[in-house]
Amino acid sequence: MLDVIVFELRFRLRQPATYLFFTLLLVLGFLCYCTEAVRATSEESVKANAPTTVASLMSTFTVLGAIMVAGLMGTSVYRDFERRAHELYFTTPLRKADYVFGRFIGCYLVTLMVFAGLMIGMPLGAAMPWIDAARLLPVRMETYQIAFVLIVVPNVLLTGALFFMVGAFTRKLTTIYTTGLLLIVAWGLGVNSLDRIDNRTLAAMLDPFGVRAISETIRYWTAAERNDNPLALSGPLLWNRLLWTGVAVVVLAIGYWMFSLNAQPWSIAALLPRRSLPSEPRAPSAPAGEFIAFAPSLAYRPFATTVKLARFYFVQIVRSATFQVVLVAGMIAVCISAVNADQILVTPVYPVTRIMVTDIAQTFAVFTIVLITFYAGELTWRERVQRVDQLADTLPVSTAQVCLAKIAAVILLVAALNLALIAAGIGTQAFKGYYLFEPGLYFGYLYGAVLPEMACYALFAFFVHSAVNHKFASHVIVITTFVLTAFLPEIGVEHGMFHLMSVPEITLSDMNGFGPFLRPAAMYSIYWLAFGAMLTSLTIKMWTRGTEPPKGLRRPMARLGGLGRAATAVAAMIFLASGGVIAYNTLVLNPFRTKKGDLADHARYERVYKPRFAGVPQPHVVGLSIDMRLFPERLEYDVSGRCRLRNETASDVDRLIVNIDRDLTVRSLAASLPYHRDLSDRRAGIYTLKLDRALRPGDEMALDFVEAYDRRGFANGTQETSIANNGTFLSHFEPHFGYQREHEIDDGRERERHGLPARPLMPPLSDKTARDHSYIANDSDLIDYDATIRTAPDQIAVTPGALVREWMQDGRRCFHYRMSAPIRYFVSVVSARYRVYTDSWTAKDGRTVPISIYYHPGHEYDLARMANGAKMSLAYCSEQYSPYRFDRLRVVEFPDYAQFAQSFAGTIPYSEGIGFLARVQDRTATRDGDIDYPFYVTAHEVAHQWWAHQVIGADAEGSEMLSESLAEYTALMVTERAYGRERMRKFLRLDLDRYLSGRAEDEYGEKPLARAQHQQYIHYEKGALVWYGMREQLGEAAVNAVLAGFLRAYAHAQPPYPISEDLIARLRAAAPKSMQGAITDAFEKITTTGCQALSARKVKTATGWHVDFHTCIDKYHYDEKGNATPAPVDDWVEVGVFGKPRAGSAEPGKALSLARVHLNREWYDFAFDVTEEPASAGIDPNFKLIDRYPDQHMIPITPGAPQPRTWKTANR
Amino acid sequence: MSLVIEDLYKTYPNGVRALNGISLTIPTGMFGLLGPNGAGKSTLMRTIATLQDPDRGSIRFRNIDVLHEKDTMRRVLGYLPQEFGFYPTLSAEETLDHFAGLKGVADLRVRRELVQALLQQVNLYDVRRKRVGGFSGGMLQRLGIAVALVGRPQIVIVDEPTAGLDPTERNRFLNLLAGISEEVTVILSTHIVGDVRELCRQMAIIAEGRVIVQGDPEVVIAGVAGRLWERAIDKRDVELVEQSFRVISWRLVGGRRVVTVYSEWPPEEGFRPVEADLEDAYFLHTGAAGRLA
Repeated sequence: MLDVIVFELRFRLRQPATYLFFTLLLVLGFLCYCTEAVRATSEESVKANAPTTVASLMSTFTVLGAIMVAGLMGTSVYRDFERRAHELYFTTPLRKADYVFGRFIGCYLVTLMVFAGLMIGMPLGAAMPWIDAARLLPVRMETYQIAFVLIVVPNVLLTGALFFMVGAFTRKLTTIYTTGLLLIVAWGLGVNSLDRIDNRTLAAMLDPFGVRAISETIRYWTAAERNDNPLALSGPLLWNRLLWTGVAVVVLAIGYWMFSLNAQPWSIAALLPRRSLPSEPRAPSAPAGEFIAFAPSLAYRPFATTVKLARFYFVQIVRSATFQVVLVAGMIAVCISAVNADQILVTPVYPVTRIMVTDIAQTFAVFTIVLITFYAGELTWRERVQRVDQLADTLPVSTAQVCLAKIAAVILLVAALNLALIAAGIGTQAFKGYYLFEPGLYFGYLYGAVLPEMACYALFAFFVHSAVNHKFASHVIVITTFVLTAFLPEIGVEHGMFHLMSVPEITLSDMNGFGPFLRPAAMYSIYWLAFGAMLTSLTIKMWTRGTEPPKGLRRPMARLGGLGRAATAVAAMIFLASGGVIAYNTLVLNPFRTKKGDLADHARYERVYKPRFAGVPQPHVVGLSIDMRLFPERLEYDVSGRCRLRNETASDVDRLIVNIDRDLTVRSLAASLPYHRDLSDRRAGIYTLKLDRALRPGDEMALDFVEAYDRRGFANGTQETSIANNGTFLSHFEPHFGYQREHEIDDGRERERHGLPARPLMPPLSDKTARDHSYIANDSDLIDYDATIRTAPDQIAVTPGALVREWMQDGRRCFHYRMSAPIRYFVSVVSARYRVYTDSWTAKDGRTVPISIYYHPGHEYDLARMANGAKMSLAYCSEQYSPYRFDRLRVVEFPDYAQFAQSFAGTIPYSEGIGFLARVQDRTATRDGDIDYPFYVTAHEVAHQWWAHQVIGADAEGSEMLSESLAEYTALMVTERAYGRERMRKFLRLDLDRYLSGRAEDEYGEKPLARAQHQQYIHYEKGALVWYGMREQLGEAAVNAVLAGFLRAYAHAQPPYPISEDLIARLRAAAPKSMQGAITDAFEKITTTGCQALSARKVKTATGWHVDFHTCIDKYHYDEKGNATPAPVDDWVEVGVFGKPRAGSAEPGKALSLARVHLNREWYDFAFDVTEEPASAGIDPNFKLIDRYPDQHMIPITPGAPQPRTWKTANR
Repeated sequence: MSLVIEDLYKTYPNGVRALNGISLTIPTGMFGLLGPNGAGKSTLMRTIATLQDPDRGSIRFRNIDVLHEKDTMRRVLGYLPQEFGFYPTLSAEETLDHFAGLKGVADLRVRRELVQALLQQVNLYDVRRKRVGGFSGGMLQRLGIAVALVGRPQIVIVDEPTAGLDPTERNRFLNLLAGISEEVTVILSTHIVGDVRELCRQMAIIAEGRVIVQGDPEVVIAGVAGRLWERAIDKRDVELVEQSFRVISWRLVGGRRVVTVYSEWPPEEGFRPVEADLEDAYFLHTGAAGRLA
């Protein structure tokens, strides 16, 4: 056997492909570490060369490298057949085992050597001198060695065994590569479709490459843990590795068993009844006589011939096995993806066509691209490979005809596949019981937007194949170009006119259809199609026809006919014209903005204006009245308005510093006091007015302004969507006064690059000036608001306030709104063709608040749930905190260009993407209810009418807790009231999962809740858990009393604004002494407990059942980087046993016994006596702690006497 | 004269001089092209068949300037290369239909009749529905012939067409060619000298890119007639004979070596005159004496 191994090794080491693959992996590994991508991460986050990251990366490379494994190992036995050497081998006295395993081991070793390129390239990249050492961990070779042994060695064994055996059996190159393709597709699908909270463990087991097992192992690890802990073979990873190594061995064994040293290949056809091959006819069917004179009339119709040829090639593609395999794989992918496409958040949405068509197009895109690339090569080379070229090339068919027919066949293929996609989309909708198909949208999107881009890609692929005239090199060039094009924006080439053959993405909306994305997509399609047509003239010129050997790079060039030259000239003209239109739109009508340029502008704002304007006293806005003209038809608007300003400072104001967004044209700016204009810097969006006579403290003045959004055409990259044909949502209102900190760059790395000093994201709690204003506006407290909105005659415009009057004027529909109570300088305008759903809520004092939901016709599904959420939230907040301040409540839908809802005074704009299409299944006898997020989100937003609109935090860290955490808490309480306490478990489990995942991925470093800085996973999820936990500990009444008191103290207050500590102090005052430590842990420290249910046994007793339950608990504090220090446990924890779960439910059954116990050491054994038969036991079963092992809280109870405790350390 | 080739030169990038000033005039009817491997036959054929361009020279077929009016030439051309294949998934019928369509047989009904007739002619009618991928070499060759003849070309170029055929099929094929050669120019390149003598009224022998001899096969034979002599000799005399005579060929007859030599006068004792054949003329002109290994 050794001889065979050595032979294989020697052979492989002589092959250039071996070194090519090795170098490729080395370079890729190297590039992973020495490029921009690495430098972007910050010091607090997980490092790119952390052990588990290295392992994940290597694992991903074994997926992508599967095709290399196919090339190296699949071809081992195949090669003998290809060279027809098998008959020689099989007739030697070589034993089967020696032959098979010798070959296998030989090429396996070589493949491992090839993959060792990663082990060299990755650390080498990390060690490059230009890499900032602080961004990476010190290079440790054993990190790479461990990952190689645990990940690469088994993965290559598995894929290698598979390919080796497939190659040995089918003896066809195509089946080897198809297996590789299928493996990758199956992996991608499996990984994605199993990404649900309840089947992650399954996903971790089933991922043959171990990527999921690694991510599952480290799911809740902090950055520091991920950086420090070596990759260990334990937990899901251990089982995963065992499972798949076992599978590899089984594959090899079965393969060996079935393999016979036989010259006949194994194939499915061989299993079927034999069909006879055509044999020589025995007797001539016609006399061997004279050639029958048969001179048909000949006609040369170029167009008809081209069509005929195109159809011929199309049929050839469709008949080919590769196409069918890819098609089947693609359709499976599409169907799986489409079936899951309606999973948004955790609750399904109605599978509207917009969502389906985007999903199927995106999923299938990679398959289409593979097919185009592959068949461009196949068709270019078809005649040469089949050796029909000399016959075909002497036919009276012009090169242009052949060339165009082949291109047309591929484009036709894409067009035909689109039909299959539409069928898949409609089928999935029907399968889901949704029958409002929109064939127009399917066809418009797939044929109007997808097909042209794919056609361009086909034109390009054929061009490369014709020009390069080397199949493999062409494939590499085509794919590389495609990948590089996707990366162009990353390396600073942001203008779409250089993004070869790519058409800007379209974001669909039910409300606004194709919206502003249609025109740029159409122009770019024309532009690239014209470019493709020009390329095609070169494709034809360079097309290989005949047997003329190339002379170096020079090849005979075909001449284009008159028609061809004319077509090329027309294409060139269209290319120039459309290019001109695009350039005019994106460079002249709209400013061309780049990421780099934008950052530079922000840096300039800070550098130039911070020294001059920060801290310069400015008057506060106390009133705003606007007259806004919306022109949804042409995507323009203008606003004329008046800001009432009052000097609330102690010093004179002699200059107004006015910020107006640089996208707005300032038509006029005039103060009510004598002034002159002094600075006007549109790039920074800053304008100043010098007052001739200073505004004295306490005095008022006004600023009249006219500003307009008057952009025409389209911009480069993404489009402005705040003004829309149907669904305008304007939420940033100008002007603002004084230096605006929010214009500064937040990202620490970018600040450093622009020479700006490091700064926290939000001012620290200790910053006393932070209390001078709220965190949403630094130039106002409360304002009077009055607005007239003029919009299209068929639209309704909404802004905060009571509708005073509605009328028609100059063909515009006009609305006059006035706010009866002062509000924050935080307003929005929404306008669309709405239908209105109305409801109302009556307070205990008899006051009735009308509720209206402005929605897009067709989106009726969840209106009642939303209205219910609003009513229950209004009721809860009014009872528990304070009366509702406004006289109405509106929910207003806006297009799916953003996925959030935002609470303005009495008015809540709400994205169509996050609630209007929710398909909430209520709880039934056989299934758990879905999370009712239209209800929940509405409850949350309504709670903001208190937590933001009544009280708002200072401009300091932690202030978001005062609005977001409390709104979350309120929404949880409202939901609990609506759905019952036992349903909260699902919400809390989800919040806990999001918090634990969020903290690991935080680039800025985790902060305690009281000092969170724009960190959603803290102020939403952790905040919700902490406050809900407080309510569990202190009781609802006590917590709400604290909140109501806090509200009374700070509602509508002028400065000083409250900070998080103010609320925490009140909570401390209301809590017993035993709770103080828990409050510190929850708010002021980063703390997690670790509860684990270790074992549970039950025995039947005379009166029922006796349960012994072993548990352990620990607790850690963390610093910002995630370094843990042990902390003493001193907490109240729920412990209980549960009955059988309901059929079809993932939740535990009824609590048979549930107690809150105070725990202060590590190990606890509990005993329960219950009357009903228990099924499971749990410690903190309902997720009321911030706990890092949420999956280990519950354990099934097994019958038997209690086990002696095994004193093993809990894995962590 | 139908095909006039003048002064054709071709040097490949690797330095091989494939055509070295070939001029030929080829009339209607069968024209045989003989020459050893590497003589430039295939290059010449491919050049006439519009597949590649010479460095210099011109080719005219009737009133077509072949090198510059390739598409026009292709309309009247039937070409059967030495090595070729077909789309393996198509049946014989589909293959022929495909080529017929591209050759300009636009009418569907006419095309079907033509395809059926041709399949019968080349004796593939019974297997017309089978995939070409499963065909034997001989069947492929016959299908290739049918493809070359489809659409009634005015000039047919066939490169080593009878190589893979059994004697029956070879006969059948040669008859086919003879049948059409009444009005059509047929250029037949072959190794089999007998074919040329049987079928061709005109022929040429080319070697090293040059035309060595051209004319009626009988005239070419006549050029060597009466100057060929043979005798059986012992192994030890081989060298002596090679030094003294212009050896045309060696043969084994009943295990004994028989040498044929060219000499204008009767050579010394032991040699007897033999009747000249085209093969002998070929060996003489190409200098490629058939040696015993």
